[in-house]
Amino acid sequence: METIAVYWEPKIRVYGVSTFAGLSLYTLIFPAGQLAHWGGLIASLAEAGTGFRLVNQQVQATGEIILQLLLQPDERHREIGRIIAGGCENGRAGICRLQSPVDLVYMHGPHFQDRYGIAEAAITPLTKAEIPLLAAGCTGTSIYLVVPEGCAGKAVACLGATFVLDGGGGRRSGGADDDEK
Amino acid sequence: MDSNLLAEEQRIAIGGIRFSVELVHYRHRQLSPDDRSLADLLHLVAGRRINLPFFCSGRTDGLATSSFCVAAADALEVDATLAAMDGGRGAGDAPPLAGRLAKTERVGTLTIFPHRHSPALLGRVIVSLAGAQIAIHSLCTSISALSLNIDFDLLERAAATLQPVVSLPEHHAPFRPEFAIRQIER
Repeated sequence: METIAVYWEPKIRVYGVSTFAGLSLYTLIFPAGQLAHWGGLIASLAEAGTGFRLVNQQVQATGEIILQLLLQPDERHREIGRIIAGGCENGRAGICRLQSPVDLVYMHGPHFQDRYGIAEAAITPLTKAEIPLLAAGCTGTSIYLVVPEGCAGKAVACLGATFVLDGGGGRRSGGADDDEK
Repeated sequence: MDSNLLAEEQRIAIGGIRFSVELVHYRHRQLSPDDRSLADLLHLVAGRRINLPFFCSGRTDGLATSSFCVAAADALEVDATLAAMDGGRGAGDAPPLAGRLAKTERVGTLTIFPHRHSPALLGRVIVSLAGAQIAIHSLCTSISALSLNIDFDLLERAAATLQPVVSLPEHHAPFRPEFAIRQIER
């Protein structure tokens, strides 16, 4: 049996768009052999009671691993910073860079994981507008775009060229987001 | 306390694990701040109506590294697109994608859901896979799921490796794709 679904959309519709301000982006760069070390350290962040908003990890051309954690800064940020900085072991286990505050644009939409052109529609408008993309993730039905502080509004305006962003969402500072149902 | 009960208590309850179809993984490296070849590449791939079920990007020293996957069945067309992109250069210019792209074949995505934003789950999954010598080509989270790209042939072993870490619903076996959705028109 074959089922064919067609989205007739001149512009891509989304279920919602939200922006968040005041987040902290940790970028860890370390040798591949240190992956277990950093995994253990990330697990220990749970003891500080924090939760991540976005995580991505890639292998760089050098063979090193780049792992980015987007966290909500709160009263625990000193403890989190101490744990992560301690993991660097004076640079032997890798290096950590912190960018804070940063903004996040979050969107989700129907069957984004099955449809062509979704990543392009999210990335290209920001590239054209020369908005630096500090981190991004497009998996499942989610799109996360991490941009410098104060850039979320401009990013959403640009994304209006490729997405229908006329409903829902809003600007938030902190707060836990809802799970996808 | 019984050691089995203790071990069970330490496992993190999740809703399930899902495997993808066979994929091909590409990594793109930006070579200079004004290098827009990724946007060009994404535009051409979208123009061929090829879906990217996974995309992530990060930046160090002002330059982006991006990873994406396509279904193995689409890889030939992607490669043709990339070749055409390189062939379109002017005389004497460097190929637009030279030194920028790395390709890994026979990749699969192992998706764990829900992650509940838990560093404990993420960290223990990473530790377990690293301990089992299962390389993670890339990973990214959605609002509810953690998706890890590993060698396609290691999906089963990876799921077995994670058994001491996660607690699955009774009789749960990893979901495998039984059908594919392809958008044919926008």
